Amino acid sequence: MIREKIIDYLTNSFFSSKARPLVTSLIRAILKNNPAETLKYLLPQTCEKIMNNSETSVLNDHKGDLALVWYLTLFSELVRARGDALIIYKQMIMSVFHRCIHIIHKDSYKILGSAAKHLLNSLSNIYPIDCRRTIENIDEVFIDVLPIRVNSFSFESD
Amino acid sequence: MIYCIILFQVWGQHVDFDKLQVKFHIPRIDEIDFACEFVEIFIYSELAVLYENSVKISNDERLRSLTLVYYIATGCLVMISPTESKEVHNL
Repeated sequence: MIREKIIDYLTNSFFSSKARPLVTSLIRAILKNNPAETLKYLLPQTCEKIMNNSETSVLNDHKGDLALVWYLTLFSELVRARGDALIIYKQMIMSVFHRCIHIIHKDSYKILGSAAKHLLNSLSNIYPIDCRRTIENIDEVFIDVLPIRVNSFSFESD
Repeated sequence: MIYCIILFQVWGQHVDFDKLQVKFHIPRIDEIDFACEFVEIFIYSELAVLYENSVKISNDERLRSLTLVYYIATGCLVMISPTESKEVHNL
């Protein structure tokens, strides 16, 4: 239920330029923790919305479209995921770039450019994907281990 | 005596280097192929626009092409061989 609420919130809200950095940082956090599942639920919907909102009239409009700008921002964050998680969405990603590469709205093509940069970095760079140092295994189900409890634990000073 | 400590106090603790289990993303062949395909499709078409229509296109259109070339070039920078290598020398 929470997952559906998050998906609805992200794919149906057109955030202003001031709120965008805050929301995208939240997306980056969930993407880093579980890239495969985040992409599974967000990327197909985002690509579909981009394709539906990018008619020729919108692409050739200097004023841009708020909804399209938001979906492109979301897309640009989602392609930051690990390369091995992204590779299965290759066709989908390519079709978005093919469709939107000629967009003339300045903010939109800058966002698309940064999406290209994020995609190429994710695919070709070597980077750490799991550098947590925790004593407990926080990947277990919440009934067994609640990660927030790891924040304070007892020890014997002797 | 039992104390309750907060995790950030553990952050500075010394950890044996061999016990660190950092996982790395190392690009696979299919990922590199995807990146190369992407660069070939999109950067060359923008460079062609800049070469062939350099006088005809408007400043806005030129800025759009240059912006995309800039972002794609910075993205694929790690895949380019060093300038002193044979591949670059033969170009």
